[in-house]
Amino acid sequence: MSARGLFRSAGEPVREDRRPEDPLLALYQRTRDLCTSAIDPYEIAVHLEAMGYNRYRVQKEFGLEGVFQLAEKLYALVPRDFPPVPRGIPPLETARQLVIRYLVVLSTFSAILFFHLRGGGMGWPVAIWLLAWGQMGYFLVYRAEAELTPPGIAEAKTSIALFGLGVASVLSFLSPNPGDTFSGSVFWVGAIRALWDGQVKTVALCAAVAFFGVYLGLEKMSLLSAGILCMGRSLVRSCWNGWQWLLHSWPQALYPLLYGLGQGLFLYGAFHRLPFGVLWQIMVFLVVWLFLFDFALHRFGIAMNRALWGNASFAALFSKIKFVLLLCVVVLFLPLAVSLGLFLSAPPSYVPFLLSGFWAAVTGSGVFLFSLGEQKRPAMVLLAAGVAVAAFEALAIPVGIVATMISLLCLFSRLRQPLGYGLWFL
Amino acid sequence: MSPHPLVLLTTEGTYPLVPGGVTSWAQELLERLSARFIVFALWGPRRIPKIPPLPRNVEEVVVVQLFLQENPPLTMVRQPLLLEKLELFFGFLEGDIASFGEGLYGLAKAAGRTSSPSSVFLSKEADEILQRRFASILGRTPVLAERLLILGQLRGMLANLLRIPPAADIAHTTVNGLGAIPAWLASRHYQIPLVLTEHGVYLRERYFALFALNLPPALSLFFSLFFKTLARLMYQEASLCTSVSEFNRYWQVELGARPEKTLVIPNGIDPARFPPAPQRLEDPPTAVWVGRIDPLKDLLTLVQAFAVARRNLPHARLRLFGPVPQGNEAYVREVSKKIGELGLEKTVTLEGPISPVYRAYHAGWVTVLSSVSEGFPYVVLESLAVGRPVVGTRTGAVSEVIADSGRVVPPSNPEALGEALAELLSDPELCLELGALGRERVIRKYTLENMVASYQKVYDMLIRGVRTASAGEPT
Repeated sequence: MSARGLFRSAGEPVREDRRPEDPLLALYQRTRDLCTSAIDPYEIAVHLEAMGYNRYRVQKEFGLEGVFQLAEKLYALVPRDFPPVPRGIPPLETARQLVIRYLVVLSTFSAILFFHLRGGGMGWPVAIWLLAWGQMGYFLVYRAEAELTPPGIAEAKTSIALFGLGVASVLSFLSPNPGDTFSGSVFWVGAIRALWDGQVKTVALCAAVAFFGVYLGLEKMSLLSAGILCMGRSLVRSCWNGWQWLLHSWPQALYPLLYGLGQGLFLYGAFHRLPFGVLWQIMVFLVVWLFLFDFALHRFGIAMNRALWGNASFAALFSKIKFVLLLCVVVLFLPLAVSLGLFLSAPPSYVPFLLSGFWAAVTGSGVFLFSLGEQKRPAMVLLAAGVAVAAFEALAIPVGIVATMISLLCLFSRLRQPLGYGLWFL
Repeated sequence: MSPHPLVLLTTEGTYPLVPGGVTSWAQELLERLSARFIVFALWGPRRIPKIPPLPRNVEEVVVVQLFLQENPPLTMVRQPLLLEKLELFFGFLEGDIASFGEGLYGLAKAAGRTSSPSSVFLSKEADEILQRRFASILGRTPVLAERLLILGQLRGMLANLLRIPPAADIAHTTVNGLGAIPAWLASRHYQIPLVLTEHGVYLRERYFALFALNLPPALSLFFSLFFKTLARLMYQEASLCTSVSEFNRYWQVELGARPEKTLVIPNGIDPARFPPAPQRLEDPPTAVWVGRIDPLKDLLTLVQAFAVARRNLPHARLRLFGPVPQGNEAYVREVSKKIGELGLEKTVTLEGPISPVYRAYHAGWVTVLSSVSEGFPYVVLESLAVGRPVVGTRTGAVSEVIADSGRVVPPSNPEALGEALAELLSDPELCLELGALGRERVIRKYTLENMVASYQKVYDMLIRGVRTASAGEPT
């Protein structure tokens, strides 16, 4: 047998209305799906064998030498070509899910802020840790879903959540108000844990309960109970295997952890002296921007997927995605542009806003690079910038400028090489 | 010079990392052969399992991980030598075995000296070569997504594999796929004999996998051409192709192995480890299935077949023994659902692994095997060794081994399998008679001793050939 599975026309096209008069056509009718999708006659041969055709049966029923010859005959009956078949996530459904997720995260975040406003408060060490843990957890969960079976995934998620909570509870003692900080951390970790399982309704319900409790002045209790409620069954699940997996796998999420740490340290350096009234305005602005940017990146992903399946050249690819790419760049620079405008209008009072603009540019480039499969550089840039800003407050603006330029340089050099990241969108 | 040859044994996803048929085979063989071994084990991106204690003659185990996620560098350096070899490598698209082999060897050699093949697969030049060469086969220019998926897959498969392995006297591969590449590279580089042993036919299993994966057609075409040419290269260049059954040999010859260079060495077991089952069959009539729970074992057909058998034997039982490998949980649920749908919850039981395994065979009147694809299943040998007949499907070496010691039916045919089961489960005398024939047959033909002696002969013959050739070389 010499067929190599090339594009070819049928030797003898089979008409749909033709009645099977000989055993070959009867067999074809029974194996139509296989015959039309087969890449070459060998593929048909292996399935014929699985159906019980061996050389003796083939000789008896078809008068042919063996299975390979029978497969050749069947293969020749069907015309075939190899059209590109796009693979992607249905965009509408994903967009809807994304919006729900944003709303839920936003409400959780707001519950904690509201709690903060009512007199409690979360210490900086825990806030920085939760940011870093959130980044690390996201990647570890992604990895667990690729590597483990469903029970193992659940155990790994619980271990990651308990790890986050364990470190947060130790760090809570470093805060001025340990009880409140711990309650806030439980709620945050619980909400994220529930979101990993897609329990959006649970998170929304818990956020509502937390809001109500905070409104009634039961901050500590309401956040703690909402957090425990969010984690639900997963808290009592035995997860020895999950801990083992986490012990082995955490280095894979080292860069996201460093990235989150850099994010937190940068925020601390820039804002730890601010009164809460100003801080929450900046935080709300940044969170809303992050959602907007995430949504722009999501559109970029969909556009890339479609363009990769619809084009044969890279030049055509960039021309197809130029608008969405432009949208991402505009959204990326939005906070920097706004904060620069404010800073130029009244320089001293808007320094923290300018720093938030740099933070957004560095963080946004990092998120973009992460989505292009690049982890090390954005993590190291953000960590270095975060440490520098936290340690030398006076140098915050020059550090912000340098970090922004390095991040953008990395981003644009990466974007120019679609061969290196195109696979991430397929 | 050591009296025992040094053998480079390559495996893929089996010995010494996970239990199974090939692992049992390798374990038994390595312990008994007069040779030293370097084991070159291919593994995926998942965590490498703990390696159990190995025989003393295993000098080293090298685990090569494929499909590891690594980020490509920000800048791609042009690598002319690698690109030249890559051009040759793509010869497989036209079925040019010689060019493909040159390319494969060239890439491995160049990778050792100049740079990593990892980045070359994602270079602009590699993409251009692929686009040009594949377009003529596909009948159109492959789109970007297809090219990226192909290059990414090639990189995952080959980046860590294309290295010249350590020197040895014989290269022995247990699989004719990716796992054969290091053995072939060693054979070509050090000019040593290459032995290819196949338990199942790797290419057949690739076709099953490609069909199940439901890849975009261009990708299926590309990788079927790749694996087909790779298989042909190995069959062509192996000093000896051994297989465990005539069925496998039939495929090997079809795919290009020269008949005179093929040899069937059936697997063997140690009968002492499988004590004869009691000569009295206790009620209820029980069929036993032993194996790892996997779609290739086609347990859905087995459950349906048992429902057929129960029409005349309402008290009959079916006991399923074996582990559920990671990733097959959904399949077990499907099997359980089928058992429930047919109302067989009380008579068909999933009982998990059992040790020692002969206890499972002793528990039944007959052993059943419903697989759609098999190499040389130990289950058949073990059951016959304890004196219990087998009802099996006509796959791989099953019918050769069962011969007159049971019944053989077409695969995926519940009616036929059910009727064969009913015939045996309703006649205890027949079960005992066929079982006795089977035990006698295993002791005569399928012993571990025979198997080890055959492989020892192969090694001795090849080493003699090498030493004679080197002695005759002009100095």
